[in-house]
Amino acid sequence: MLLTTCSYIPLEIPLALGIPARRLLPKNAGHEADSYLPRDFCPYARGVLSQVWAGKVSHALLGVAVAGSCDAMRRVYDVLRHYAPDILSFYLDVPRTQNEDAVSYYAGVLRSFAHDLAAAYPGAPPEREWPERLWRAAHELDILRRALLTAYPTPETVQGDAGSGNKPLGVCASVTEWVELYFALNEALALPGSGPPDWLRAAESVRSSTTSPAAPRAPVVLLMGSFLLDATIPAALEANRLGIAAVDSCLGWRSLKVTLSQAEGDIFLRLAAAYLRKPPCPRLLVRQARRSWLEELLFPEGGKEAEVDGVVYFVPKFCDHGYYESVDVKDWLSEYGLPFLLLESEYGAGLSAQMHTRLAAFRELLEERQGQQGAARAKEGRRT
Amino acid sequence: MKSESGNVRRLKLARLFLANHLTYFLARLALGPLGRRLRSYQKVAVRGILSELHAAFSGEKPVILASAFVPTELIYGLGAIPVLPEVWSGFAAAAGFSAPAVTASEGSGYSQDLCSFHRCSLGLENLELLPKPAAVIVSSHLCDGGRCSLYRHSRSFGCPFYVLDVPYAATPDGVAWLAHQLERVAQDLVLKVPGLSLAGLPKALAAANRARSEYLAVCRLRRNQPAPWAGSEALNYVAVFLSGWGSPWLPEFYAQLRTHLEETIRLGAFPVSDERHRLLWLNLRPYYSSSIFRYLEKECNTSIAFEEYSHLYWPPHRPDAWAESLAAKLLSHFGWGPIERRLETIWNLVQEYGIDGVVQFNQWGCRQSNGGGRFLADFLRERGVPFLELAGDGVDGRSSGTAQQLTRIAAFVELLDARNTPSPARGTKAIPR
Ligand code: SF4
Ligand code: SF4
Repeated sequence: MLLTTCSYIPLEIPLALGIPARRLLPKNAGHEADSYLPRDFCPYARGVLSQVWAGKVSHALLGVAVAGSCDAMRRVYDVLRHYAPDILSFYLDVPRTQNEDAVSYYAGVLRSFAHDLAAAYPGAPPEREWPERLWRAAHELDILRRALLTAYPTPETVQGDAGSGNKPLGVCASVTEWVELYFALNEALALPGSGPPDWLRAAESVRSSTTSPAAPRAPVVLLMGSFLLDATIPAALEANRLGIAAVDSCLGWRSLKVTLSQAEGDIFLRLAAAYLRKPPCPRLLVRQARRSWLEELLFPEGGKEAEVDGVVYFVPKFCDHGYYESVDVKDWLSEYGLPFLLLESEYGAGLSAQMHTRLAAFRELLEERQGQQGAARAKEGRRT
Repeated sequence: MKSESGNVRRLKLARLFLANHLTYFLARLALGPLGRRLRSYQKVAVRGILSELHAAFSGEKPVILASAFVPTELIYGLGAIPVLPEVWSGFAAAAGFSAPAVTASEGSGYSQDLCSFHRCSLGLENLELLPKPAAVIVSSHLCDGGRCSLYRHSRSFGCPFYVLDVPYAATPDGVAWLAHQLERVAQDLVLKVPGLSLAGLPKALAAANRARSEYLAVCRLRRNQPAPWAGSEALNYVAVFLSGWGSPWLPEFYAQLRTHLEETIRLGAFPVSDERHRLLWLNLRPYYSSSIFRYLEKECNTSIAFEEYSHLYWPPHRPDAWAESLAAKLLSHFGWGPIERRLETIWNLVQEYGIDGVVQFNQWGCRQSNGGGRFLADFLRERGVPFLELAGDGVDGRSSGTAQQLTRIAAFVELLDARNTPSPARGTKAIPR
């Protein structure tokens, strides 16, 4: 099995080579990494190592593909190579820009990655079959991504049809449930020898029905950040009656909006373009593109009025990308007069009483603003 | 309250100094009589830095802000003045402005868990102590905080932001891509910033090569036992090492430093004459006043014989192929790529400089350097070289932890004392360049 650490690594490649693969999404930071990483490293970096070490996954032909997401993940890659030599480790040099040169460089990186995987795992198909297999894997993953997008509990326009034309997954009752579904689908991906229908069935079967639907008239926020870590944050938002219009996180829409060009040509180049040009995450140094994506989420119809009442930004502790971007986002939002709440924490953050207190206060602020805006609109209406 | 008003006064004076033509003129005049107390290489550096500050604040030359590992040869070569905000944070700490700057950046929302070299530079901008740049250039490697904070500077100043996306490995594709990016950035800067041209690039690279030869001679002299240059001072000059390459004054600076070190060795006037131990210092130092160096040098008779950030890691430039040369420089940094590169570099330095122990200053929030701690500990232990991780903060004196640092240093020196046999590195090895 191959585990990947970043949404910029195309799962199409291992899947096309017949290697079960999924994104490594730990449920906690664990303690197994403590003696290898300094204490000011983010919980995800720690969680990746802990998950591998805690014996939660079998080490037989286990591979971990690490992207150079940040200074922390570069060290995670080094730790794996040094201290877990029984694990196959791969490094993907993901560019931080999106132009043609970066895409063509990344295509080369992906091609080498495919060759390295084929050399490390027995039974890889011959290279001449790769384009066809990659294309098929891309199509299958596309079905899943669209299925997940259509299962999101807030109306979301997905271009084109979702495979069969029917919604392959039922719409979730809450965003918390949707995030759980996301995890389940990710887990299902690594089931050996299966395809989209089995994946979807497996995901549906573990779907939790314990969460209650978000209150329809609650203030609505955009939940964003570098990496959401787990479902406790959306759960805390929803428990505090905050609707979540969209999830802009690595564990969310950013990973799902991957569009592979149908044009002829080198499949690695197309994969590189599709992944590098998906909605950017804070680690990419393309802040204008990032801002445009944020605007797309805030003003989905291109209108003047934001479709959300505020933004909740979650940063895993010690994530430099998140810390810095949160200040930029706060400033951008002030241009639109939108309230902003920064949450910075660890796995399980949404369970803390302090987090609930802060969210309740934020909801009150948003409700107060809604009230004031409603009154102002009514007054305006009377005048006209 | 009193110190707050002292801060305000100091800030006003600093702004006045930086922005006023007359002060530069007077400062240069003062260099004559006052300069007698300065050593020759120090005078060259002061003169060089003053003339650049003047050119920067008077608008005589455009300023380009750059992150710490961008080759400054590019900026000098284009005809601009490089300003490295991280280096300025070090200056601010030394001059006593870092506290208000760090507080100002925290007031804007920057977390205390970020490296203070960046938090401070963002605060310096708020306090109007940074010159207005015409552009910002960052490299994508090594320090996440650097590129993010410099993006912020570019936004605040409303100037173009350029990214040098540095590949992980120096493969032929990677080198070609990076060289192409350097060309594109340079060409675009020439179009956008009046007064810049590509014509000076070969000259800047040639100047850097001259400085390089002098610097390698300095390094050879620093292998002398006892150490001829106090590491505490050498760590201050890391600022020059990071930001001076390509400047017209750097070759002269290193030539004068070389003469000074030769003299020191000839006269036997060593900073730590009764040298008991020789340390290699990794990462930066506290730039505000700190007693740890005096303690090491005066009370423990221990020299910092060399510093990781003084290590010259790139091959000589080819002035006629400036883009490829600068790409090679970016890609040769020992902290980039797999950790083995850093380990190997440190091991070479240990051998070259006859090192007895290695100290890594764990700058709070510096993930690129601190992340190497476990590897270094194991690697050096296997080779019988004691290693100390010293937690601290180079800029934010509020979190200095000096007392704890002194205790840890004392214990480390005791450990070195207890080892009766000299370190395996005490035999010296040629500098293989
Ligand atoms: S959350 Fe931030 S620090 Fe952690 S791995 Fe992701 S980008 Fe790196
Ligand atoms: S100390 Fe580390 S994090 Fe801070 S500026 Fe230097 S390289 Fe960057």
